[in-house]
Amino acid sequence: MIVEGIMSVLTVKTISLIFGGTVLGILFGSIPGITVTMGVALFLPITFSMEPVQGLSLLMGLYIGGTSGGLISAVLLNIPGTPASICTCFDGAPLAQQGKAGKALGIGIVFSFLGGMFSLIVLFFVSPWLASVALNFGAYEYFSIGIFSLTLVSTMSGKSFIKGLISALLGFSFTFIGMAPITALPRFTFGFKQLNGGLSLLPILIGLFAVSQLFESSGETEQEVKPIEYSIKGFGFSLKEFVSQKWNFLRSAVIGTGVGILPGLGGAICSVVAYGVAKKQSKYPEKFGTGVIDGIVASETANNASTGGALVPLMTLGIPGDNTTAILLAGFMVHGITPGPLLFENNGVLVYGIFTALVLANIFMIISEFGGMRLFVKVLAVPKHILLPIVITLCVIGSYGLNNRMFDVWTMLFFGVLGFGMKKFDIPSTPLLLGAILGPIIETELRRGLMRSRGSFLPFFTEPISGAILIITILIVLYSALKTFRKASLKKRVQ
Amino acid sequence: MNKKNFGLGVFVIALGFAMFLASLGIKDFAAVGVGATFFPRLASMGFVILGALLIIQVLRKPETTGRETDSSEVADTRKKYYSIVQSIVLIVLFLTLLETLGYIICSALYIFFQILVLANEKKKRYVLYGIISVISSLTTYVLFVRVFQVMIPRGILG
Repeated sequence: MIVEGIMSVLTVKTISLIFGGTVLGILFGSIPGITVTMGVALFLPITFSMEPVQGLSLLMGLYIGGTSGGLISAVLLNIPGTPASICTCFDGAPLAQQGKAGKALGIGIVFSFLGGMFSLIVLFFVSPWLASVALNFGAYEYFSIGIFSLTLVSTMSGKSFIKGLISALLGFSFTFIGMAPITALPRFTFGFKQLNGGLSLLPILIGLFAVSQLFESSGETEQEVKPIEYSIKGFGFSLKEFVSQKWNFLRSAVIGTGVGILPGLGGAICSVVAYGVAKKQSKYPEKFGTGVIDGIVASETANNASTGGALVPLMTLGIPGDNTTAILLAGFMVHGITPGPLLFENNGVLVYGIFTALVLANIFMIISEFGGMRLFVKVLAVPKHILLPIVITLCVIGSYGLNNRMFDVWTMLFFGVLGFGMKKFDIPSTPLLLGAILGPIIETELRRGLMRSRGSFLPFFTEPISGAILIITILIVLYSALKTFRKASLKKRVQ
Repeated sequence: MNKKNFGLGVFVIALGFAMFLASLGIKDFAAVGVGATFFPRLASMGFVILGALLIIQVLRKPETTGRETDSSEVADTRKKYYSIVQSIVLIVLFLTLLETLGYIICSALYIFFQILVLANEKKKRYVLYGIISVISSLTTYVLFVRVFQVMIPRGILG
């Protein structure tokens, strides 16, 4: 099965799709204001007519390339290309200003690659095991995992956990529209026939993560983009420097993969955590932020290590690890494939095909970033006021192409406006997305579980795995509430 | 007082009540356990609670004296909201005309005017923007329809 999976990717067409995806991903990742999430969402419609393994390989290339591409603008412009590369700016940009941009880029690229490969090894070994465990999961466990994921995202992704919960609840509420699970009676359709089937995930995603960006940029004065001059000789750094980073690398890779596995927490959080830990553990923490390579290594290793991590819950449980994997989930569903433990039994060849595609994407990423840096830097200078309108037309094509109906395009616009409004009120949009994905799982599994237990809620708590997950969930809520409360009283005392 | 968060709290509570009212109309039958109204009602209660918490948080926070905003800042925000409204109107027009005029015409027009809106204070290079909008509209059309076989409304040109 493994060999068959590898072979399924080794065709000229699929390999060129992965290569193209990776290069485009780097472009999307490197242009500030255009994120990898947007890139994957825009290219999803292209995969409609492809074979599943080809389509998903393309998307994986975009994902890997995009996550790494953010470092280019972080170093050369001091603007993170993606949220995941915010911490790369801290030391990458000062290093570039000292005339060592080549070194910063070289280190970023190599450790992106290593971090990505590390997480793939974890993915390769952990996910089949987790899938076999998850095969025994029933309604109780799925319900608990759903609640756990949603709580974790709500409490972690914004400044205020109340706003996070509002966002999650809002996303959940959008899934009430359409047929209710199990009894299949329509609700909240307000007399619109198009709402009977509920809202599609793709227009929601495109609206929230791409269209809202246009409104964000409207009326903003765009700054002239002038990348810093650079030159790379070899890898741009010495072997001694490389060896000095081995513990930092390992720690950051473990943090990136580990945090990446947790549902809904993406590369941005991974790199912030890894950067923080690297600084704390360092012998010279005061130098962080002035251009030490340790900072770049921590940030770039961790954000790329989050890719393999985020794919673990997606492939084994059908729960996305971050925004981008949420779109990959939509990519699976477009081809009629539901990720989850059964994926490994029923579609083993596809699973190993995807693994192979991910490895290739990482290799293409390091090659094309070293070889094609001039091109990527050129594209950085393309002004956003020209790019964004074109992106919007692609959004329209994508939403329309899903079901060939205008209704989905209007849905996209609605969520674009909603996403923009939420940003204005500091409400994070990731919980909404997770709510929209996990809502039906939570509702269906609760009702299924209650049928099995004849209406008793008790087994959700007394079944060992489900009970443990629910208790952890409650602890997370209590901890966040306590933290919020403490912060408030501390502020009061200060004043 | 943070007026923004206070307003948000009120809105979220209202949303909760509206959802509860809407949930009264759901037809339901569930022999065992909870029915189709369970989660909508739970969510509506959640909204009310979270909205109330938000308001309590706002009220508990001590007054902070807001910085005076000068008139140029107000003008800037107004200008900003004006271009956001322009962008929304442009997309609404694009979508409304899409099925009658077809993708090529609509998207070319949309891209052209949207660039103008986003370019706000820059020197407007009309010819360049025109060329960009026509070329990108044609390229995406050919690419998606011919190569990737995605359906797009063709309109009067089809």
